[in-house]
Formats: sequence, structure tokens, C-alpha cells
Amino acid sequence: MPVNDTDYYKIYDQFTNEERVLKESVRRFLDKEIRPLVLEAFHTEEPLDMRKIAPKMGRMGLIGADLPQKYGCPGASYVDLGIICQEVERVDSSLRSYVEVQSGLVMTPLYKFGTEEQKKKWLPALASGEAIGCFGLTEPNCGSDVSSLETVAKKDGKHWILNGTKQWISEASLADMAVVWAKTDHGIQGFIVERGQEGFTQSFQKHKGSMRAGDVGELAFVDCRVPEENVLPEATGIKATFACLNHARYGISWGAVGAAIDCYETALRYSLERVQFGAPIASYQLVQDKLVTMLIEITKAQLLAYRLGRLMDEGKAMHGQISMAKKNNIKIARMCARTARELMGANGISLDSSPMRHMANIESVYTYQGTDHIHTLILGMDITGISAFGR
Amino acid sequence: MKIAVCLKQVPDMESKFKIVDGKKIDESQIAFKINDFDNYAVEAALQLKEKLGGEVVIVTCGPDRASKDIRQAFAMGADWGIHVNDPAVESGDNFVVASVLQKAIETIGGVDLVLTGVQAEDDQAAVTGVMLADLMGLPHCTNVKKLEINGNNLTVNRELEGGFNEVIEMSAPAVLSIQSGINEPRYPTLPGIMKAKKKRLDVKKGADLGVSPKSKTDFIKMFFPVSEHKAEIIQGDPATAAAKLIEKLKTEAKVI
Repeated sequence: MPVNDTDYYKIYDQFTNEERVLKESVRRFLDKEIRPLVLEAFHTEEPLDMRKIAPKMGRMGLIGADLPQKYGCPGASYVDLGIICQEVERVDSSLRSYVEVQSGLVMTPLYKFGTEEQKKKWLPALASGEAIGCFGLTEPNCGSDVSSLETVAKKDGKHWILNGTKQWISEASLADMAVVWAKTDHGIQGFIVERGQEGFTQSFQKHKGSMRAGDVGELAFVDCRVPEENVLPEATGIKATFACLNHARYGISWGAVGAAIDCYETALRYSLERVQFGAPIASYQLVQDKLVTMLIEITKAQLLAYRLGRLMDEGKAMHGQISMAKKNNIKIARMCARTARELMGANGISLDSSPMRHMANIESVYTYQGTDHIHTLILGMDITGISAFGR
Repeated sequence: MKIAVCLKQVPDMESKFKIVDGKKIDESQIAFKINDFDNYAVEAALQLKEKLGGEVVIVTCGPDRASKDIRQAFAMGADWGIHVNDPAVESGDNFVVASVLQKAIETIGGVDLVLTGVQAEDDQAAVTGVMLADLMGLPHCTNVKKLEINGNNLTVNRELEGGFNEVIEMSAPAVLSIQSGINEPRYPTLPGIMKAKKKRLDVKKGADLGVSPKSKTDFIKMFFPVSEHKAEIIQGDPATAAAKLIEKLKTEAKVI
């Protein structure tokens, strides 16, 4: 098997021909068109130019992959979506953030909870990459505890008036629209807020140590008037937010495998080339132990992601399984980034190779879309029937 | 314009090659992909179809796994295909493959142009396209770097050593073997892949095509060349070193 296609347990043999073609094509596209841009974007914290890149990704069918062709989307499967996330995060987590925020957190709620007019207006534009969306849930004082949202929406005739701040939002400064969650008199509600709306400010967050190739920032609402037709009618209550998050968490479980594989393959190539004490370092037992540990954990992570994908496509996946895959696979990616960096010694700290960048990015992924702790509690509650959230 | 493109699946050259019993490659460690030269041929055919209309038909000899790369060509935009999946053909030489391709292309009917890659990345024989042209009784041109069509008239640039081109005029139907770099092959997109699922792929045996050709060559064995690491650096001033070199070439290497 080529050194650039880690598949020790022949999981790809389970893929259909079309899934294999997708995987190979997405990889070729990204390696040629986008990978060369990532290093400089990360180093300078000047995000990748998604106005140029998103339409290319849209043409490839990488956005909203699982949503229906009726709305200009590919109408493909969850496994296809997973393959896309894996290949995209192999390049950089910020790109996978874009794919999953757009597909899972913006397009999925529009598709599930929006009106026909909202779907027709936004889904084809978002799928083509011509429009860019963001998702506003997290706030300065509200992270894991979604019920503690402080952004409020008050009805005023045919408008809603939004006040509040959303933080750590992917594509915040660039987005043409945001799916925003706010508290109303009858609970949590989803809204579409469009760029340029009075009282809506979008800003870029600098000085991050992670996701530096991506646009991350803040959304602020000061008496922002949102017309009635921009309410997502079915998006009510905390459950609606979780429906979107499950989609994104699923994508992350595959994406993490991509980041882990990139680290492992980089370290494997390095260990075969780097000569110390008269032999390639790959010939030393301590180095082999590290390589084998990475490969075993990556293989297990691949199996979890693959099986979860098939379960999603059969409509049988449970949220606990999604939590298990997200929690485990990110832990593995984190371990692989660190181990690969160790194997590469001083050369590993340079951004010229990928493990250090993946390591920094994975810290965000470890925390967002449900922290590692939260997924433990979801699984704990699932197997014991006892909630350990709050007291 | 009806165009047939001959497509071969080959090992990814980054794979780990292991020879079993001096006879074949251990496939368990190998990833397979579309022959790069054929990918340019597919793209060339698709560009002609976009300009002139018609259809692009993929013709492949290979085992089950080769269907993946036929689907790739479908995802790029090819219309349908014939997959000759027959161990007897698989074990034959280039002549066997060319004979089977000829019969398969005959069943399509009314083909104006047959495109192949210049060669396959694995055996690098570069003869199948030429044999095919001869069997079909059609004019052919190899190493095609540029292709223009006006009605039935083809103007092709043929690449020679050192980057020279010769310009040849010929008329369709014809067989052209396409050189890499003639175009930039498109990426299969996910919407294209979704469409590819529904495209027609006829699977045939040699017998279905009424053909059972015999190989013209015998396969003896395959092996990795042994590297002998023989090198000698001749010391001394240029005149002495040159004299010594000539002496060695005459007496030791016996090449002059």
C-alpha cells in the first residue's frame, strides 16, 4: 500500500467504486489547489480566501453533500460526506470547519427547520460556495450549557429585535448570513440574520494559537431588527440546536482521522529518511513503537467513523455513537499530532511540516462541537440513565 | 462525434512492489488507479464532445477492480462503457488486449475516433494503440500533443524527441495515442459521481465478442534488476586520466 494511503485494515475495500473515486478525486483537488496555500495562511493568520476557494469546493460538490439535489446539493450519502471531511481535514482543520459549519450547522437547520422560501433562497447559493454562512450559538458566557444563552429576541410587530454577542464563530467576518440562536419568551429560537442588517456587526478574532488559516470571530447584535420571514419556524428549543450539532460532530469524527493520518504519514516518511547513528531512525525499536501505536489507534478510529457513517445512512445511528466517535477520534488525532512531532525532533516544530499545525488546530476541535467532557457525560448518561450535567 | 477511449487500470507507482515466484506482483499491497496517460485521453475526448456533440464510450480490459476507474471516467463525463473482464484476456499480451479492444469497439459501431494513452505506466509497452489501429485498418498517430478537428479532417501535433513537434494531417476514423500534458484533466466532482452511478457499463468476456486471440510473446519471468554498485573514480591530471579511461574501456569493459 502506498505510504500516502494508510488503510491497514482494508476499510476502503468496503467502499463502493463511487466512494473510492470521490476519495481520490477530493484528495487530488485539495493537494493541488488548496494545500499549497495553507502554510502561509496559518503562519500569518491571514485566513484562506474563501471567496475564491468556496466556489471551487462548491463545484466539486463538497458543500452540503448529503442534502437533496432539489436544492442544488449533491444528494449524496453520509459516508460521502465523511470521506470529504476526512480528506479536507487531512489538509487543515479550518477547511473542515468551513465544510461542516456550512453543511451541518447552516444548511442542515435551513433544510430541517426552514420555510420553502428560505431553502430556495439560501441552499443553492450555499451549496455552490457563492454564499458563505456561519452559525451563532456559543457566547462569551455560554459554551457547553446551551440553555444559558444570553442573546435575546423580542417580538416587535413584524420584526424580531436581537441583542447579544456570539463568540468563536467560524467564518464570522466573511459570512453573508448567520443562523443565530436566541432566547424568546417561549424558549430558544433560530433566526437567519443577513450581512449588512442594521445593528449586526461581524468581526475577526486575531491572536489565536489555533485555526489560524480560518476565519474565526464574533457576531454582535445591538437592537438588530430581523424580519419575521427570517425566523426558522421549526427551529425551536434546545433539541433543534442538537440536531445540527450531531451532523457536525459526525463530520468531525471523520475529519479527525484525516488529520491523524497526515501526521502519521509525515512522521513515517521522515523516520525512513532521517539517518542517526548510521541508520534510518525507523530502524530503532523506540521509533517503531511510536509508529505502531499511531497506526493501531488510527485504524480503530477509521473503523468507528466508517461504521458510524453506514449507521447514519441506514438511519440507525444513536447520538451516543456520534459522541463516542467524536470523542475518541479527536483524542487519537491529538495523540498522533504530538507523537509525530516527537518523532521529527526539532524539525517537527517547524510549520514546514504539518504535525505542529495539526496539533494547534486539534486543540480547537477537542473543545468545539461538544467538549471531550461533554461527550463523556452524553455517553455516561446513555449507559447509566443518570444525567451528570449540572447539579 | 462518437469517440471510444481505451482505459487501463494500473498500480499506483508509490505502492510497495513484491514479486511472487518471479511471475507476478503481490497485489495485496498495491493501490490501483487510472493510467495517467489514459486520463488525458478521456479529457481530450470530453473536450471534443463538448465542442462537437456526440458521445464518449470507455473500453477497458481488466479484472473487477478496474470498474472503479471506468466509473471515474463516467464521473468526469463519459457516457457509457464496455468492461471486458476475462482472466484469459488478462493473462494475454498486448496483442491479445489490442485484438479484444478492436472487437469491443466494433460492437459500439460508427466510432469516429479511438483515443488511447501513449503507453501504460506499468508495462510501458506503448504498442497497444498502434496494434489496435493496424487491426482496425485505420490511420494512427502516436504522442499526440495537440488535436484539431474540422469535419473529418484531423490536424495533430506529434511530439518528437527534444520537444520538437511535427504536424500531421489525417482523416477520421483514426486511432490516436495521447501524450500527457495535452490538456488538464478535470477532477471528478461529487455531482458527476452521483450521475456516474446510473451510467451503463456492459461487462463482457472474450467469448461474448467472438474472439480468443493467442499471445504473440511468451512471458518468461520478472525480477528486480540487481544493483552492482560498480564505480571507479580515475585520479590524475586530465590527459593521464583520459588515457587510463580509454585503456579500461578497451581492455576491461571491451566496449571500444
